[in-house]
Amino acid sequence: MGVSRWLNRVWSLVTTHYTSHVVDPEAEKEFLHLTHKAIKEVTADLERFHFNTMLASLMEFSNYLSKVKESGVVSGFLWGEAISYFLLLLAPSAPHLTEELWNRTGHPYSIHNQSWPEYDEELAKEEEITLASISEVEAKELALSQERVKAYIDDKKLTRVIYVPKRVVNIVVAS
Amino acid sequence: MAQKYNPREIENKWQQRWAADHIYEVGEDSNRPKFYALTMFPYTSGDLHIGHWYAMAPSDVYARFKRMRGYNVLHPMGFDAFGLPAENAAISHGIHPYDWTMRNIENMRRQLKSMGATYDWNREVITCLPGYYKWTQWFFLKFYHAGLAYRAKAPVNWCPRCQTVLANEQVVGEGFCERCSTPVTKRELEQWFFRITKYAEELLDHSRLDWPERIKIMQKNWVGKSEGAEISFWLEHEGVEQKEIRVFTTRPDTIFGVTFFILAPEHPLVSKLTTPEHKAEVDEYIVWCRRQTEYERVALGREKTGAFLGSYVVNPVSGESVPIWIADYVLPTYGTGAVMAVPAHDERDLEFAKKFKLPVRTVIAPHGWTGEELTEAYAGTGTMVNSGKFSGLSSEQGYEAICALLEEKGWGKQKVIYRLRDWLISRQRYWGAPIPIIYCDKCGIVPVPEEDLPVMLPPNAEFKPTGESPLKYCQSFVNTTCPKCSGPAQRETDTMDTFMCSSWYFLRYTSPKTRSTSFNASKVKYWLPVDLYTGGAEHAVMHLFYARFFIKALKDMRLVDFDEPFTPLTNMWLSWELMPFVDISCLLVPGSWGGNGMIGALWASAAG
Repeated sequence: MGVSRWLNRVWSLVTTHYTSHVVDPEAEKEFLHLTHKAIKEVTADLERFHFNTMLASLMEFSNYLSKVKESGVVSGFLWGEAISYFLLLLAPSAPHLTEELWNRTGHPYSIHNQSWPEYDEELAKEEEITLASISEVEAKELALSQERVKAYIDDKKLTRVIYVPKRVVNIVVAS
Repeated sequence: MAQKYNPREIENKWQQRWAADHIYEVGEDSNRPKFYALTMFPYTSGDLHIGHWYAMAPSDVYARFKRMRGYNVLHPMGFDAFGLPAENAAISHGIHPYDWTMRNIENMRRQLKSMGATYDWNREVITCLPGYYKWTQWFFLKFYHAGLAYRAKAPVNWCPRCQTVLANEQVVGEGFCERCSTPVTKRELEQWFFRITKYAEELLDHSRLDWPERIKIMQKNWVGKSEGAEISFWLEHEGVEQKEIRVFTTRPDTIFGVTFFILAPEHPLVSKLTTPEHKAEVDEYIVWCRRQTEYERVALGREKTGAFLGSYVVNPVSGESVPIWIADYVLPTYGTGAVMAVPAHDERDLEFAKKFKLPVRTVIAPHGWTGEELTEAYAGTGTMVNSGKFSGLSSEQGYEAICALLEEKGWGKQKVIYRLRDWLISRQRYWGAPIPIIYCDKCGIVPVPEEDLPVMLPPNAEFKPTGESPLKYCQSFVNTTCPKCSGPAQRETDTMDTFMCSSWYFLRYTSPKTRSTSFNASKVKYWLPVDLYTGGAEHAVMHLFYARFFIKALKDMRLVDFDEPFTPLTNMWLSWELMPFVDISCLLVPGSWGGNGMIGALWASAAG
């Protein structure tokens, strides 16, 4: 997705109303995990000037928020909290947009005088994903569809994708 | 239905609010950790371009991030406003450089503000204003009084089109003017120099700088350190008082392989050592050399040219008499301007020997050598042969033994030389800070007293290029009284290299409005060193190098208490490092720049 289109989606994600339908504790657990994971990743990427992977993390997070918005499986409180974290994480990179959205979501001026969000290491921790019964083709497709992987590949030419069963997918691109 | 995202509208609104609330203005605050985010200030060429954006966007994103993490962030902006392009543009547009520059600054300031960046505009510096250049002049006086500024006649790079002297760094490619691409020639002029070579060793020391390897290598090559020996060859020539000519060699162990001797065509002894029967040929060759650029002269593989002077020098170690030639590949400015030619072990000397049918003698045997003639110059180490009592030694042992012999006999000594030359700061141009020096017939060179600064640049001077300093023709500027004897005296009419202005601007940002001093020491102590420096890679040698020299000199003058402006912790981010992962087509700029509102202009779109 182009960044321009993405920012428009961010705009409507934040400015349109969220309705909580059926609050699901399991879904809320995942929601918290992904929120704190996003804070952790964006913080680390910014610290190292890795802007492209930072953007991938933010996009991934906002796509996830859009899905949650459709299902309404988390409480309004958690939703609001996640949106404010998301705006804070985006603030250094999109200062005008986030100031406007910060204002529209009822927060005190200015977003640029706010503290950077802290993350909970426990909540941010990645659960291991077991890909036991996955085929080589599926594993490669899954790897290549990850936003964070795409950020590195960008429009470079894929020269090789190496698959080691149950271990690793190694992607080689032409620079 | 919610209102649609309109970048232009909200950018404008919030920029006005931020400015009205002064939210990016900072002061010293001992309760918070400081962070100094510096971006190379733009040259006032008129328009900002995407290259500026590369340098500015990451530092702004990072500055905002640091602010939110609780740092007291200094993120200033200013303008590098003196210099040749302003003068040239002013000439071609028929407008005064001051007006041209200030108009550009206004435009660029507006563009910069439209980025909505965190710049503290209260701290803006503009190098062409007297409130700033007064202190650039003050630094000149400090360097002068510290013995780091001197006046000397020297061959200088001369651009016939710009009608000015160029620093070595401003001669690019195959010897062309950096600004207008005209081939550069040489000229002798009385100039002011800064003794940067005194700091060569310190400048080579990057051990405490965590910089990209590439910058370190560029700076190292710029210093160009060579270790070797200086050797005196004996001279016995009627009518020449001098009894020796010194050469520098990195390979004293090859001394027995010297079969001829070369002087730079500009060497002062050339005319005296030329015998009458060779005079015509030598003179003709010298005239031809003057038309060659330095780059052409030293280019590898170029057909060798030269002329025999008809006279000889004696190799002190072998006692052998060898002929003296001149050749353009020996430069007057490197080493002593004289070379002991060892064709068996130096590629260019071998080309020369082949061309002029001069003898070649192998004196360093490569491993496994059986005495056959070498087909190409062997520059490696090996065993000394054909070297008298030194034969049989390894070249390393020979190096030591020959040096010991030279020192014992007083024929020479071990020495280190540098490619780095002193920093030529004089410019024969109008649009710069006048050098604060007065020439008095009675008192000689007299520095302008500090209390008389600034030496104002007269607005009414005719600044069209003539090859001489435009200020020379401005009588009201030139004529003054000597500060020592009050007699009539003349001002220096050259102005300073603009790299002087940019060597200390990061100090001025800490106290930009101070009238009583160049910078407030306690504020510099709070903010410096710089924590993040972003800018263009084209400044990896000159600007970074001069700024480091400046700070080292200021430290020795006890004006600052640190010796690197951009230190171990400074995150150096030069724009070539970004290029590999930045896709220009995906760059984002604010709405008012025709973009979509994201300041972090650097990332490529993740999924097309």
